[in-house]
Amino acid sequence: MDFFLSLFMSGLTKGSIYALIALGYTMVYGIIALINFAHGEIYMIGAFTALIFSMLLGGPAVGMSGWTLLLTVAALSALYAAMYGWTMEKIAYQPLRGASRLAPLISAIGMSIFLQNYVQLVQTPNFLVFPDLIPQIDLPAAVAKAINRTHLVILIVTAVAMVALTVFIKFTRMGMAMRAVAQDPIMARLSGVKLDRVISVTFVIGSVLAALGGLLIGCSMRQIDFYIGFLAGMKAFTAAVLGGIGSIPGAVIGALILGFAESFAAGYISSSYKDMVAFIILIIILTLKPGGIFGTSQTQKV
Amino acid sequence: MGKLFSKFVLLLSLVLMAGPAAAQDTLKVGFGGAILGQLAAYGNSNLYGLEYAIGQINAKGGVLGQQVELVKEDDGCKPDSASSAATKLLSQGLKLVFGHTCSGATRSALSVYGNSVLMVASSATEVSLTEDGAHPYFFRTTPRDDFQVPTQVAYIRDKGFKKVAILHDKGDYGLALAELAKKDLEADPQGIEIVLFEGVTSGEVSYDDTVSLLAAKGAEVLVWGGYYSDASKLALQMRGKGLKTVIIGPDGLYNPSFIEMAQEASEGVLATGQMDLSKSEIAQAAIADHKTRHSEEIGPYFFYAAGAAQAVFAAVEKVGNTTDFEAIKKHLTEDTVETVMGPVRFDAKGDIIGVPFSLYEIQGGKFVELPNK
Amino acid sequence: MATFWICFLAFPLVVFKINANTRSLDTRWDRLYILAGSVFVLTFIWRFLLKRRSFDRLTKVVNEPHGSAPKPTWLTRLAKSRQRGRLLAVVLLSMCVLPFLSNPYMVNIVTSALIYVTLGLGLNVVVGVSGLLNLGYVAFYAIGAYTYALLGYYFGLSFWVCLPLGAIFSTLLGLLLGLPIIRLSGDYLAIVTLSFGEITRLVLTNLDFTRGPRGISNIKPPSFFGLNLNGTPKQFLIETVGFHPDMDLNRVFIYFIILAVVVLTIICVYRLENSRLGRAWLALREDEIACQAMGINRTRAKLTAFALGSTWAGLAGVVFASQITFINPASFSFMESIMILSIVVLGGMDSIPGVIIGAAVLILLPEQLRFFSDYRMLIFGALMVVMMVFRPGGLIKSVREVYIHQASDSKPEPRPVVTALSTMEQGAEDD
Repeated sequence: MDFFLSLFMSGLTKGSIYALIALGYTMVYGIIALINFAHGEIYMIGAFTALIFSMLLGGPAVGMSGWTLLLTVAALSALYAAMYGWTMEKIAYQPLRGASRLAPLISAIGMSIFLQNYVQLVQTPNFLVFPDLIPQIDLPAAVAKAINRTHLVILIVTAVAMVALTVFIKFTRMGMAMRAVAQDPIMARLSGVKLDRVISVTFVIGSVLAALGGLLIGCSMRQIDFYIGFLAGMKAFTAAVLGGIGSIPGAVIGALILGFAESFAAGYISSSYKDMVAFIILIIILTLKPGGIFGTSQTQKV
Repeated sequence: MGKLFSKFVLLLSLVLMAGPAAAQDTLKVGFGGAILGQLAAYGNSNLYGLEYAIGQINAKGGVLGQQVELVKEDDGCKPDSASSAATKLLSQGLKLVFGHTCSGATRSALSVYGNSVLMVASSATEVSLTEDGAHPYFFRTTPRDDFQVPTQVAYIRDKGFKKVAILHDKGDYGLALAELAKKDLEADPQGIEIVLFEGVTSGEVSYDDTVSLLAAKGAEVLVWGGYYSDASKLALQMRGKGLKTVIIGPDGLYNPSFIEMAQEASEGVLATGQMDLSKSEIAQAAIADHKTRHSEEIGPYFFYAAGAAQAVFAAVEKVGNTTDFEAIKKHLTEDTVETVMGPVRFDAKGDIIGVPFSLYEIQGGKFVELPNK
Repeated sequence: MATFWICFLAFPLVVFKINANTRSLDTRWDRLYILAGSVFVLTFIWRFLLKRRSFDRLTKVVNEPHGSAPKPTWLTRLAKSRQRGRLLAVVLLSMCVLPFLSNPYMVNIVTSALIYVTLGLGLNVVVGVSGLLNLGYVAFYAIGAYTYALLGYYFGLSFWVCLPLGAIFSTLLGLLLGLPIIRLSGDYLAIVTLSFGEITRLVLTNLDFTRGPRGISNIKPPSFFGLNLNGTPKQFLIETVGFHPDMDLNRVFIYFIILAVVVLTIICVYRLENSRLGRAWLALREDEIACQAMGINRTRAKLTAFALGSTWAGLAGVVFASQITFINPASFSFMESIMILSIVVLGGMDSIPGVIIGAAVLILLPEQLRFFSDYRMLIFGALMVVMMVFRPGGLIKSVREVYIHQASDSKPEPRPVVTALSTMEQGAEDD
């Protein structure tokens, strides 16, 4: 039972980490139906800028510490990631609006290769030590045993982000515009939605979430390198599709399923085969429910 | 009609013609390895060492009166890229190549070089590369995998651990080490039981599940086959869950960055590593020299690569040319050369002689050498 | 303006470099100036090209309100032109003499490129023609390569036995994968194929008899009627035609094998595309439901597309294994699938010459860019974006025969520019 519980907790932490990245992914993915391969790279850039800012601000020159440092660094890296996301969209995706679906996909791959090599060249190919920026919190002993504070923060941020995004999409004007664009970009445009602006905002939100993910996961792993975006991006993509494209709660559920699947597979079958088990579960779920867990079943008109 | 046609033919010939051109005013030596991509850190560590050694030699007037020039080719540690990088180096008429970085890539490069190139690796550790004897002109300055595993196994026996878990990162380096450890332990169990033998995915965001498994299996000691980056995550999460299992790692873990990453969790972790190469005066000078050029750390293979270059150039200087491989090999296997990594001499198979491993324990945030028994 | 923006953007990453030795930040203002300068020039070029592109489109839409076939570029025209036969002959001839004039390096990378041409053509059947997005294509490639490696390693089977076997195995696997995913479409299909590719790689990594990440080495080159090619025949060639002495004749032989495979593939794919089945695939791509309504067996069409597409990957895999002589699962990663997909899209979906050009560009380009050393992949990534932005339909557009019904009476009035623009955004670009 204890073993089961500890596997459950590890699945939960893993799932929440995937969810944090998958949320941003599913935003972009749901609204313009683009498999944004460069999303993982934004996450990586978020982590790098966070590290640089934390060294700048936490250093003797400025001397911030504790929560002020964490929040300032988070804000700055989110800002920078947002700008990267915005620029990336303007350069690589906007000119391709209206082209066939695969064209932006390839351009996204190109962008991903570019950004990876850019960071490797201007920074370093080595692993870098990432400081644990999250200040000490006194947790009740029972909680502390089950989960460490970094993972707790990740869990909370994921939950808050999920709720906030759902509210944003459901109840604000911009959210409504986003849903409209997701359904039918041309119709949305004809009804007076500013297509470019909506898509830009989507990218900005997605990038902010990715940067937060980069910062928090950096804190939890205490190391980053230019290649972290690849695996993260792939897991996030898997989670987003599993949950149903464009569905915010779906992304979180999908990520949790992925986390649990990996964790229990590692525990009860074998670590070596856990990724495989996760993928097999994915195939089974999608075969049974071809629209993803939260996906709406599509009726096609002839 | 002719215009389109000639345009195409021009394009075609442009694509096909851009071959390498060779001019022999300097002594060109090759480097093949991962300069880009996921494993670039290891390739670059090799490269820094070579840069240092070549810089030193050129400052003293070069080899055979010629300045040495390094031709770098990236292979990203992939066998297929290694093959094309190797043919590129071969086509430029290079006779001496340093590299490649990874064992798999080295293997595929060797099949391209055949006997036309003398190659010295400084980070490929897989046993069979030299053991199978298929490539007489292949040498390496890194000790191969089976040199360090016995040290680890001896420690486990010595401490009387009964339940051993072996984990690896599914890479060729990590898996080879893990399998050697398993083989050693199974050959002569003495009551030792391997409770877990598994691979984990490198670069994963969390190893919590594997840690739970370790706890459930009651492993007393964990033998890790892989690099420090994944090991530090494992250590952090193991200690975070209050797991006291002893960790023993290979030379891939023997890296100061491990301590920085794992911080307090690194305390008590053991690693086999080469004799501390950086202690000697020339090594310190080499590090200082490196720091003037790069802000990165020297990485794990700096000294091996520099030592390889110094040994080979010394042999070439004695032979008087770069083409008589038999003569060069004779010098490499018979003479001992003082290099930045210490004395270097190879055995007939091409492995380095006399690079003993010691066991280190992290105490107070530092690797401390344990007395050899 | 854009210059300032980019510099501002790149500021923290470029100017501050984390110094791992001293655990501090190095400041490098000089880098910023270099960056500013180059970005300034590049933005002008970018703007100019973008403007030219939109101008082209605008004039095109205005002049040809029907949205009739866009003015083909010279590459497309060439692919269509009547000199095609002559062109093919020249290309084939130059490919044939290449090993006798060139160096081993050239032969090696052209062999790789040809392997990718085969892969690209195979994937083109699945993605380009049938419109099924397959992100796990590399699995079939791996099956082919491992078929030869394993059968050779354990049973000593020769290349010539394994070549058809590899093709058969991957075809069977394609059928197997095809079965559960018939219901899926679009991105769901993409993710399932992706998982399948990953599963294959993980199986190869974890199983003992595939030797895991250590891979299989010393794979034998194909035999030429049991003749030692590097003996007398090589001497003969060196003396008669000035053959490059470093050249390994076995590799040249592999080069010719893959050349033959490519020619065979082109013929097959070309015939297939214009067959009944090929038309069915096309219909499937355009509209699944309409296609079913027309009486096409959707399941069968999808399955055959998958299976036939994988056949070529199996063939390419066997040749790949014999060329590299060492394979391990690292050669069959997800990135590899992506590269093959890029070949198809970049070259021009559903176009045979397009795929060939795509493979040439994507495989030879990184090699040609070796000149830039460290910046090689950076430039490669940027070029991929640039090529896509300026040629979203691929380098060569499909040359499928189009039958246009032309109304004889009253020409419709040219529409005003505004509507023309919106048509453009609806995807008048391509398929």
